[in-house]
Amino acid sequence: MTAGEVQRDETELVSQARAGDRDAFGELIWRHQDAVYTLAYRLVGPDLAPDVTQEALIRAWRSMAGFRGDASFATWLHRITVNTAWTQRKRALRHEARPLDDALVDTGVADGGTTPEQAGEMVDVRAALRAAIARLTPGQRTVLVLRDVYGWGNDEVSAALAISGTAAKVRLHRARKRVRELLTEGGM
Amino acid sequence: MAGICSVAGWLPEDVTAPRMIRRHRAGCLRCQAEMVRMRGLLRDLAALRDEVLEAPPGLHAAVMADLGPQAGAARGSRVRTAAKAVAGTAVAAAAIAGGLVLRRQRAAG
Repeated sequence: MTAGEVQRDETELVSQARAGDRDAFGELIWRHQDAVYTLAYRLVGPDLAPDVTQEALIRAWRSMAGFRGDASFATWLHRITVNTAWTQRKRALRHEARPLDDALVDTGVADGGTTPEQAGEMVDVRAALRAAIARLTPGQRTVLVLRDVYGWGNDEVSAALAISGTAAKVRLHRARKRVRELLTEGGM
Repeated sequence: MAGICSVAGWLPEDVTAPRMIRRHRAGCLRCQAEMVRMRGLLRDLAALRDEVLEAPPGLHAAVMADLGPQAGAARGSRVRTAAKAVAGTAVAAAAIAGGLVLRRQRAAG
């Protein structure tokens, strides 16, 4: 199956799901649930991530009629996930940032062409990075993850979080600085 | 210079910095070192995107069990229900009116 066929297939599934086809939506969930869960995990940590993922996917189903295809289905799902995470974070005001590294360390992607030593160093760096991100304030973490991990633009982030563009930039600057400090403290 | 360094070294390279900062950065080893570290940090952060966690088992089933109606479908359903109600009322009204007419005709006959 070519990439084009996969894409067409997904377009058909989205179209069928928009028409109320639960099976088609179920297939879309199979394809995207890991990515949605990973984003939720990075934004809110392990305790809330399953709930955020579930709620985001249900919201997506209920809002399928509003999906116009301006962005990819994956991007649209990510936006819903960010909104859901933000809403749940507000609900769980007492939620503390937890280390995110435990589960993520085991899922490091194998990098082709690297020696075992280099791969080991990469895992160390990534684990340290994840731990540093987990120690940011929720607001800083969200902006950093969306901007620097997922490559969102500043306008997208500020719109998704309902904050000004300047506030988003300030948070990003502080988050990067804090991550660097934490990595330095950790000997990285 | 520490004040300028705290800004110049941290500004991403894709951001157009004011001329004063660019001039400072070009001649400041501290800022250049900071920029290199910054570049490394951004590269490492971007690399995290390749990592995907497996969703908890049972999540798919839980979502499917709790889907409920779609927003559009719910609206359509409400519209259909309202239309059926109006149509039903009209039919009932016509039947009553027809019955009254028949009764009057019989009474008149």
